[in-house]
Amino acid sequence: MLDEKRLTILTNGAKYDVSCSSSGSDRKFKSGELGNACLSGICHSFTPDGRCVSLLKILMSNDCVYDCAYCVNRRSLCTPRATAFPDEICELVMQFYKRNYIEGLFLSSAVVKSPDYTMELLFETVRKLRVIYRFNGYIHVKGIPFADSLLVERTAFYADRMSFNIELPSEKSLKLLAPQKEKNAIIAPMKMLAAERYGEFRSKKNFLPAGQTSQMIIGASPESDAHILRLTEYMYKNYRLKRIYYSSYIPTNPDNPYLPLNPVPKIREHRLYQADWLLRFYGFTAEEITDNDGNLPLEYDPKSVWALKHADLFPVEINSASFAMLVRVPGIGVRSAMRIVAARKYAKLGFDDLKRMRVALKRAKHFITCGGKFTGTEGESVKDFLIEPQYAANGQISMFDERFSRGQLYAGERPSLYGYSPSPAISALTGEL
Amino acid sequence: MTIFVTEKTVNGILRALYYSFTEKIIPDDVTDGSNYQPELGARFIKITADGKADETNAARVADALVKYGGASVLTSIKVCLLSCKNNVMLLAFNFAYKTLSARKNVCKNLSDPVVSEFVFTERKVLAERHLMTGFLRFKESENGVIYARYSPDNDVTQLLAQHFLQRFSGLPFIIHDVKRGVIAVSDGFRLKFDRTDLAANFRESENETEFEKLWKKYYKEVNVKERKNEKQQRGYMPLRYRKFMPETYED
Repeated sequence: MLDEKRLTILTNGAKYDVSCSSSGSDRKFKSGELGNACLSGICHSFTPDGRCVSLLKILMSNDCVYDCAYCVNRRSLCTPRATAFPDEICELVMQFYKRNYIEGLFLSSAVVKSPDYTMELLFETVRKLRVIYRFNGYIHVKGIPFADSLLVERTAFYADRMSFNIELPSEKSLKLLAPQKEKNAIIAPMKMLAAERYGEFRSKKNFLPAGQTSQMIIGASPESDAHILRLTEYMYKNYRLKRIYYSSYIPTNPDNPYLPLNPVPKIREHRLYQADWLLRFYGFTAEEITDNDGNLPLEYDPKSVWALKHADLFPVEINSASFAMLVRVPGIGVRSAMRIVAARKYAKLGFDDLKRMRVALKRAKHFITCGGKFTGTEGESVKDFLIEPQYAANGQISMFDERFSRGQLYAGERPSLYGYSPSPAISALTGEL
Repeated sequence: MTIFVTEKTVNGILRALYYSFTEKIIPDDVTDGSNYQPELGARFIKITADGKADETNAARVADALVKYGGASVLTSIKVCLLSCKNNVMLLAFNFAYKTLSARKNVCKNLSDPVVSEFVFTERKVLAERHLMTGFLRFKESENGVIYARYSPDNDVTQLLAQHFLQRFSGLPFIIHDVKRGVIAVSDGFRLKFDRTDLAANFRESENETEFEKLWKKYYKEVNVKERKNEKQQRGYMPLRYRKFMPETYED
């Protein structure tokens, strides 16, 4: 049985990985086996940092041969090291699952000895869990770059989801902060798995039911939000990723001159996620929501920024606007838009009806009319109603105020090492990862 | 004021509907008679299965409801009746009445007050069921049966037990709603529901404390201290549910 000490070490090594979702797979129950998966995913607990605990997120080992500057498991760091045996992990998963503590396993690992050796350990663990322990719940396995492609594929066969971390948003940063990793070693297996899952030779129907995801650290390197979102868009389009996670950099290495000293404000991460949702569910493109090479404004959400810039398209009439236009109204989400489109077939909708339908009008009312009626505010003062409260307290701020340029907000950050030049979405990957 | 008294089940509602349509009486309230404070001069009509509104006629109403409102309408009514709201029976009755008189599926017509209240009540029950599929905590007993206690706002034990019957296929379990005294018992393959006021005579298995300790340790360590956000935690995991979740206990 895994003892408390090693559990502590292996959990601490894994906890900065953001992904903990258990959604996307509807693995059906099998008679006599433990577990199934739920399409929507299930959160089993929430920690005081507000994140959900869905999977047992644990490393196989934190004894890494790599020395990535941003990582808590880097070789040069003096920290306790531990390794678990496959059976220990399996037992813990079965016992936790039975008590309904967790929804499944998220297995990752530092690179022990060599990528192939590590991947084999991961493979052995998930194979045992499925075949010997007969566990039928959710499994997410992290892929190890440079590992043999056959090993990766065979591991994927037992998993619901697999992910290779992009780590940093450009090849340049990767070279600087994670010199032992290479763009191609991360991209190639993703490509292979995507081809396996979606390609024309797809033979296994249930191969990686929950698809692939990836993660990048933001704020450890100088890339702009526009760059990050273009890369994100490219990954969604070309590798059919289910999701990309952003993890704002938490300073763990004060000695490295290339890394910032202060943490990235959480609101930046939040804005990136909002933009990411706009890309995936709202029909926006990265070009629409970002400036050429700028960051997302922190004081407004990206959809409001877009709406303010396109004031000529608003207000829209609730009773006739298309679904695509409705979801572009700040405050109206996909679910509200669906409700509106369905309900207006029965009767003409007014503001009271929208309230009853639980459509949030706080922001939306400035951008819509109901039967020709408008109850919002026009002109510049709309901005006062859309601003993030924490910024409103400081008085009026213009949307692209200089005060919020990186220079001041990220006080204490070292000057960037290399200039950033904007590039179109395609070259985001070919040229700079 | 006319008040229908019937069972708090889908069949009870169906019988009330049959009675209402044949006698051409629209009730001001529908109740099962428990905890009910009648107004002065209220007229009670008791609808029982041995009267005109019997099982055969209830089945006819059910067929009509499915024909107009779609296959899921009976399930929706069943789920809605599990809500802790005190006017659910009237709500379910009115919704079904609306479907039958409109002769079409009205559940997307959310601008209608009756429909929206019904749909959001149903959704609230399902939302709590979903939360509980995550928050329920089992303990293992000496003989291998796993046992969970909880106290949900709505009566979701039936719905929840179905979920765990699939998940823990072959593993006997007991789910105990301590607020209502309802238990769901599974032998691993079949479900049985019962009422009990007794605390179960429960002896933990040998390893139980050990794994609970490991879980608490894991919960503590996986938290990122630099990003404290207890407000968000409270939003997702309300305090009232934490009573039965060992990881949230202070040491």
